[in-house]
Amino acid sequence: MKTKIIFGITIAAIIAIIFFAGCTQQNQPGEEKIRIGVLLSLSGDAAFFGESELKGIQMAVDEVNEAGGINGQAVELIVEDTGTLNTPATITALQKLVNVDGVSVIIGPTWDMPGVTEVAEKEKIVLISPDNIVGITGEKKLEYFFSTWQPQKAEMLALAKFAKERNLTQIVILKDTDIYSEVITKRFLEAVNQQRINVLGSFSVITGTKDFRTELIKIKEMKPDAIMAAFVSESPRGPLLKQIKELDLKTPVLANSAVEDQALLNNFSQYAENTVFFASPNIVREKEFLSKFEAKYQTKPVGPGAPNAYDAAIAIVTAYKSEARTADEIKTFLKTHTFPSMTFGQLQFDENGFVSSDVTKFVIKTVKNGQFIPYEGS
Amino acid sequence: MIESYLIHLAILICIYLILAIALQIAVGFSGLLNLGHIAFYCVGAYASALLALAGFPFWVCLIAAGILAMLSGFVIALPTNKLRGDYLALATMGFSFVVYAIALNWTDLTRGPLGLPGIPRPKIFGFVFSDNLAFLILAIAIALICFFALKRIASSQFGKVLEAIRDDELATRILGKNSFKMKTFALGISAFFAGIAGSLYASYITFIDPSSFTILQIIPVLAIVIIGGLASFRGTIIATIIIVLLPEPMRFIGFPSSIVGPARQIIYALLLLLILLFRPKGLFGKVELE
Repeated sequence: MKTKIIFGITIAAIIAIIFFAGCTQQNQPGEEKIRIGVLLSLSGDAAFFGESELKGIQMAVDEVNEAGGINGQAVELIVEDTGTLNTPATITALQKLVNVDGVSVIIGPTWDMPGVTEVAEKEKIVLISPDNIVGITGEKKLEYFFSTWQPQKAEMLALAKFAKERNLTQIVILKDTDIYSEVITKRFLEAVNQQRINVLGSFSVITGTKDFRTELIKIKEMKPDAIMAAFVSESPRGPLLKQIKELDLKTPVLANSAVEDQALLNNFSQYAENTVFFASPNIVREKEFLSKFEAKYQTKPVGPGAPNAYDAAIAIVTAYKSEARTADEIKTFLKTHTFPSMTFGQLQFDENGFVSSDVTKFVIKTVKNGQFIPYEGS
Repeated sequence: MIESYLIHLAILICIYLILAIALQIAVGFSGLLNLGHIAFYCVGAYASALLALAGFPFWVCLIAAGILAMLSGFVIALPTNKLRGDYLALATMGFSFVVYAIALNWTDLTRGPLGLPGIPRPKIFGFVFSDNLAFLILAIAIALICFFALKRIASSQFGKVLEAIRDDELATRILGKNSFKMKTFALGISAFFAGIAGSLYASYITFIDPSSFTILQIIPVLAIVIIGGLASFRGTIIATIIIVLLPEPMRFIGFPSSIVGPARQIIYALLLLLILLFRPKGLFGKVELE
């Protein structure tokens, strides 16, 4: 019994000491910093997105600090890992950022978690995500939510137009069963209806599935002109393309822009060659971003969200530079101003907190010689 | 401001405590290695959320969540009653996948991956528990009721029979006890309280989707039961506090941002391993997990 008590007390003491030591961490006098919360997936399936996004944010903040900070004050990032689509853990991290670190604005989360958006709205905290496409799935209007990801409606319309131009008028959809794929599919269906393209059928697989042979055999029998593959995670895309080749399906694959990630090229580029087509946002300052990124990290961004995350950080810094400090001041500033952007040239948010469709141009890309390049026919 | 963070953690402790003591009834007291516990949590959360969105009062939602989860407990108990150990674990895990797939694919009811937003906070006698502190008081009250109810059940004659079944089912049957009925009730009671925890979770977060009820969610709950010790309520309370709070101090260790995610997870896993190395029966365990 005595050992049990000692053991219990030791664990409790360790937790308490670290906890309260951390809780009492404050800025030292004379070194007041501007704190920005970061809530990204740095572990699990979504880490390939989150890690690149963190690098994009860090790059923007380092540039600002090297240039003297915000009106002389350095910017400090407080980074929290959310795991992958772990709503309770993300909400706990959000509560810590807001109530212990005292941040007014948080960059994140990686991938859509409407439960987290609900809590941020309740806490009246600005949440600016580099890749969210939903915000919240109900009719509720969000006040504090923003996203620097490209508008999905415009992206899917560009893809549907491309399909129409290439006479790909009989399409089958293959998708994950997560919120992202669901919304992408919905937007794609709206776009193909507009272009009078016929959808022969739709196949859903549990997120994380890597064996699509059953679905592909059925799809082959349907003889579609193209397959629309709507996936959020990078892990199923490579196996899907490989299995398409193995089954001798000569059907082009249309995809959402998240397909543009280095991991696909590293491992499956031979299967993606001239097969995958997607509408990629025409990143206005792509060369500048990539050269800066490679100079800093000696590698290309793996996930597609890095420039969007950079843009999110720059938008927040711009708001701070204009003396916006509270969440209300920052959200008002974000809603009423335009910001310099790597992806869009100029970034402007619409009334729902998403990037305004007007500023986004898309270019159809494919894979050629192991690179993502603009499709010449588009 | 720090109080808000601590209040949030305390609410999570209450929800996990209900979930874990409910699992104790099945695993610790009855010896039923039920890996489908999250399915009952999911049924409770969806039942409560759908009723709340339809305008039913909180108490109705809470009780209905428990009852529907209990019915699903009976549903899984009937075909698995002759299974024990690994076989029961596999069957109940399968049930968890089935419930997850229903939540994901019955889109007319659950909205599938889009989830159910805008679940109202509890309202009792005109008082809305919109403030987290008020919600914490409610969560503590519900957790205490669940705790004492389950403690009473465990120490009753019924509880003793469950323990006897866990230790030697054949002998218990020879003594004239209907182990089939007892195990079915045990699973039903366990599911009832998991449903209550689900209802509390749905009304706290105010949004649910299937991603909150994957099979992986059973890991922390099972970890609480094992670390606390089988058939120990005291151990369950301490283990719940440890498991919920253990990741939190690590947020304050200044890891470089490039390794923050994996580093915290490695330390968390190592700490859990250490606890189990030093106390293989758990903190206050009475029996060993077979």
